[in-house]
Amino acid sequence: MTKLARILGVEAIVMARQTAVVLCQGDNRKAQLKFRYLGLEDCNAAQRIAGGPKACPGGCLGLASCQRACPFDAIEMTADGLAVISREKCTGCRKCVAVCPRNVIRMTPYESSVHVMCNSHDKGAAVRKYCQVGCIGCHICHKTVPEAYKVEDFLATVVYEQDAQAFEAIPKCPTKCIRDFNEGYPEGSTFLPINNDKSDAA
Amino acid sequence: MKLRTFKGGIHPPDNKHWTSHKAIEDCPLPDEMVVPLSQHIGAPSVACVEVGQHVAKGQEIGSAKGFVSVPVHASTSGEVVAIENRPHPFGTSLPAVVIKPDGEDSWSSNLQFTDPGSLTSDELIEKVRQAGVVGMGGAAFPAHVKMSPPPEKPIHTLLFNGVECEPYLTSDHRMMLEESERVLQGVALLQYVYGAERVVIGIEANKPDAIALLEKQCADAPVEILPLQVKYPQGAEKQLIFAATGREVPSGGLPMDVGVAVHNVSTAAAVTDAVMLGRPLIERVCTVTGPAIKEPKNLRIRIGMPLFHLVEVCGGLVEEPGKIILGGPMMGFTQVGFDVPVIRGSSGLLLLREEDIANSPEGPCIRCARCVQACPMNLMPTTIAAYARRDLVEETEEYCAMDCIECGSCSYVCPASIPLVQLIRHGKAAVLAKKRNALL
Repeated sequence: MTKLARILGVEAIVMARQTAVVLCQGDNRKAQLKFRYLGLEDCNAAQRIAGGPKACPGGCLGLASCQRACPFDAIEMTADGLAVISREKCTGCRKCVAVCPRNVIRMTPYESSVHVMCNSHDKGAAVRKYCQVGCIGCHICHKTVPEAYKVEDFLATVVYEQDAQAFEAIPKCPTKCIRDFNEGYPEGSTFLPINNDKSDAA
Repeated sequence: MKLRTFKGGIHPPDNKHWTSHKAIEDCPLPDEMVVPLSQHIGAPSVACVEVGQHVAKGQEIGSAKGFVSVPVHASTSGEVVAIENRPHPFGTSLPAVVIKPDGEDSWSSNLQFTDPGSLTSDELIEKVRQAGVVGMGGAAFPAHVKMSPPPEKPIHTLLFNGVECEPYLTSDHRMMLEESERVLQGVALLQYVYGAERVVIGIEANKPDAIALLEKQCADAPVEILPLQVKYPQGAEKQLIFAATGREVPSGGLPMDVGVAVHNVSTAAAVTDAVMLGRPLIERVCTVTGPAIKEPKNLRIRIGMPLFHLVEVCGGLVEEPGKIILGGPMMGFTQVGFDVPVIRGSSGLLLLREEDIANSPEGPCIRCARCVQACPMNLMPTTIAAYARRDLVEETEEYCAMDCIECGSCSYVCPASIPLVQLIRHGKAAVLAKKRNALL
């Protein structure tokens, strides 16, 4: 790889494999709209109209701009309007991250399968009003596994460097906002987790 | 006699019959006024009052920031109850000064009558700036900036826009009929500043009463009343300039590049108030209309009145509206709810029912070129939109997306229901973003 880097004139940096994740589970059935949007089916175009049709300022708009940007067919839209990214197909090119107006797609370590599926910094009461599965900043995840979660501005995020025990907080989350992708993809997705059970390999 | 016009354009049903015959009515004060600090093109004003402070009608509550900015004033006397972000007609929440009216509605004491003959041109412009006068046609560009063209761009033709080509809107029409003295005094004041060789008031031929009245009143004055062919968007600045002077504003240019300045007739009336009475711009005529409102009216409203108050004053809704538009149906801003205040550029409030909204799904372009025929700026909307859709920024710019005035004629005529204006706006945003990134 360093030889290739030398030929191309760039520096080769060793990185752990990364995969993109849409940190949201607020599809049409779980999250509310602030208005009906009739226009160009494009997330950036919709965002320009009064900040987007979704009541939540950070959630996925579901107009598939990321899916169109992805050169690897790694992104699908669920029937209820949520973008979901395949951990296996994603190569980490970041084109989806660049096109998303909501900054709801994040690059995460491939080894980390537990994610807090929310991107809203609104206070818990406000989030409750517009989304059934949003993070309300209650700190329960952090209290359960202190090293694996940090809560900033009413939003919890996984501390990926220390997330070995993060899965323990999943059943404790009151809005079922935390997901372990090894157990399954968001509702409506056709992607399946690769079975990590080593006993099959034997 | 053939009336002057421009190339392209469309003929939407004018729907002015709802309100064109209705005299302007004063709108009573609501319980709360929300005066946004940003109502104009240019830097937003900065609050210069405090919560708990009592303010008089016309008192400055936000100071201008920089040259292309204007101060903002209290629309009535009362107490400042909050200075916070509030829903704004532009779609987001922006800082506003919230005033609870005290019912006295008493003017600030430092207003006095000034004989304009005693003022120099610069002093007149300063009064206009202090009064926060902005373009009342909707764009809200600070008038004092327009009145200060650089010396190398002399203005030889001063145009007044009494065209009001947007369907449904009749506020300028009623102003010309009922307040012609204020309008014409403003015309005279602006002519004093510009010293143009020719002064013209352009009015669309669908307002014969206004044309007749102004012709009579200007019979002995060096002011030309120019009836124009009824076509949208005749009231757009560049189209008005072409119809009145035969000159084309160059691509990327401004009216001053062809020696012309354009002001709306209501802006002229606001200039009269500012210069002669020292009154700041705190009210305007707004046409509340549409099939979803019980009693359409031309209301004299104060800046900061919430939309739900206007709806109440007009008898309430016929049914839940499908669309709430601040402005006209072609270029107005659709609102998310009634919780926003009217601002200086709010010439109309249009309530449409669900059944009035055309919502066909987008189809493929059939290259019919109706949009090319309709475009008043001689552009090719279909091509610009196609490039914009594919994020081909250089080509979008090459095909003159930046010259688009976003009038909506192309979207109106497209048989495939392609959202052309939205695509072109998307393209414009991409061109501007690229220019900004290039500077970094």
